[in-house]
Amino acid sequence: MMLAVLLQRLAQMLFVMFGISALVFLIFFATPGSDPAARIAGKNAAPETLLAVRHDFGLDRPLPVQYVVMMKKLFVTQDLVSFVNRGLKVVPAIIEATPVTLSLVFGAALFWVLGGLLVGILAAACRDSLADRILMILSLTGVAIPVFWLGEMTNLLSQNRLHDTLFFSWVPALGYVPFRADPIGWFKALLLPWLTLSLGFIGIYGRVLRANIVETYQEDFIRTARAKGISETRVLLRHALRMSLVPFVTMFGLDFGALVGGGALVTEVIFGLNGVGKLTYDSLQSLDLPVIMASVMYASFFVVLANAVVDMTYVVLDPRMRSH
Amino acid sequence: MSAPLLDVRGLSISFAGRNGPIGVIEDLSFQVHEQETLCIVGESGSGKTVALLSMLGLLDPLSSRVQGSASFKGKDILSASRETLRQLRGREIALISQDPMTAMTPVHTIGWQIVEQIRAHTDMSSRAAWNRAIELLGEVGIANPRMIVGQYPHQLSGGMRQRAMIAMALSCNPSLLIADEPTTALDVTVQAQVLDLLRRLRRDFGSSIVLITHDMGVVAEMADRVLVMYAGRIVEHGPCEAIFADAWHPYTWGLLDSIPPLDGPRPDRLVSIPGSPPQPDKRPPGCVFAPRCRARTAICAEPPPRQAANGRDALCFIDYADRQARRFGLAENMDQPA
Repeated sequence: MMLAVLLQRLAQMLFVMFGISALVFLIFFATPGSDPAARIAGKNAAPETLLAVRHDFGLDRPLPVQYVVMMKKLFVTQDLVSFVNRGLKVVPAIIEATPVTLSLVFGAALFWVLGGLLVGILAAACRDSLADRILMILSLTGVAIPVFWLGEMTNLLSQNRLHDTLFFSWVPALGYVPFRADPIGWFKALLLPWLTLSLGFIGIYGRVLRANIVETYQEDFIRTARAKGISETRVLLRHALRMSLVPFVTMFGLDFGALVGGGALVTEVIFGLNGVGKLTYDSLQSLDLPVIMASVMYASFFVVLANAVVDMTYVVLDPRMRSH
Repeated sequence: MSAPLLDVRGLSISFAGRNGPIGVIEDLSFQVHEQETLCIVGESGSGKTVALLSMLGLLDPLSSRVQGSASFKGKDILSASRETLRQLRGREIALISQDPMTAMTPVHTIGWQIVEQIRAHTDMSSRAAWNRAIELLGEVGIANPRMIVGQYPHQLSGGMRQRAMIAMALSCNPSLLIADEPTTALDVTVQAQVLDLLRRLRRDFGSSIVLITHDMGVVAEMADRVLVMYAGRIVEHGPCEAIFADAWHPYTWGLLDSIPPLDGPRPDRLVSIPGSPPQPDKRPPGCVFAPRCRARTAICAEPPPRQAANGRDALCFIDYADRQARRFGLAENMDQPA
């Protein structure tokens, strides 16, 4: 039963990804009035490069063949190269950037899920009190602070002004440390980026969760739960919270997918982390088509995957979803 | 007679409104005795549910204000601490809600929810509590309790859910069961089964029942005593047979006239009470029912007296001598087109 749902969901994922790849391909290869060979070869390419590209990508053959050739280069032979950045093998570059982005986003996600839960539950538990108001104002402040400012300020203090004080003397130089090489160094290098990236999300998630719990409190079953004589904490955690988590999970799927797919760009650039966001950003700067193409495919994969996980989480959260 | 199980005196409840507090319940006094079924009747918005929820401390303390006194087994419950109330709820006083479709938490199984209540009040092990849940489900007439106990509320029909609710309410052998329109959301055949069940439970478990309803048919079947509420006040109170035989208050006449007769000629249309109950902030200063009352006179602009005799009372000016004439004169008037 569960397995069937899972397989069905996987098939859907593959279908969606096929659709995305076809769409991305068409945008780059079949836009009227532009020559894909010139795009791939980059600005001011030599005529012989253009010829080579045209032959290599099968651009003189029908569109479906071009699509297959492109997909083969991306997924099977993985030998797509960048012409702007001579010799850069695109797929290995993305594979190399992936752990950086995944480390950043997974860590930040942990902080913002725990932080969001904590803020939302605490605010809902003492709703309409002073503590609730303070928490909500702090959350709003967190949402309002832009990541680029917060990141730069963090760097200014931790790398520069206060670097020699007790507070920040542990902070390593900007950049990524692979987990396998040095787990502690990995943690130290990423802690501040995690906090920077997660602050705004904690604010949003906390506010949304509080609103949903307060709404769930209007339900009949909350009255039943109270009438049973169980503690108020139990009413909140075991009866109100579960149903209130559905919008929380929905938002998480969207945000997480987008961030892994390159949305953490600003944080990556500020903290010198060469992740997928940074890679995409650089390739957009130089209109490096093969890299753009590959990173869009990569991003779509994570967005689709995150949403599939979200759909499965619904089934765990709400037994009413299981019968469909 | 022994001391009443629940003794409510001078209960008034008001909610915070835009222009100061709005009185919803005014000067409510009633008693519930051991092993008795008390029916509280009235239209929607007459304050039946609010009055009973206040007993359980389930009104929002920020927006509501409760005055008066209520004692349960001799202990004051309106001023009791949260912890005292928590121990009372579910164990001594249990609640059955109106709509079984929304009254159970959708994410936990029936058994989980019953076990939760048992374990909140006793030291029973989870396994013993689970077995007790199966036993309870069997006692409320569920045919295959072993299967139902592991199911989620949405997998059961309305009647089954209401039975499960009742099983949960009974799990700690409460001395008082508050049933808030337990049959309103159910099919007629299921209604009869649930009422049967409640009657049988009162016999077997010896609990008292407060049954909130607006269905005079349910009242006739279940009640020992009846409270008729209108706009936050008790307008009539007395033993069930006495009220059905000879109602004192014109509002009760209206409620009784709205039951279709089983024999005799069929009326073209049932008699209804014109208009609707006043909003809590727009109640008339004299008799609250006066604007809708067909027997009203000039004196009804004053607050009516509470007339009491033979263990019953009514909040009305019409006295014993006038009653029959006023009531049946009224019924004749109603048959004529206005």
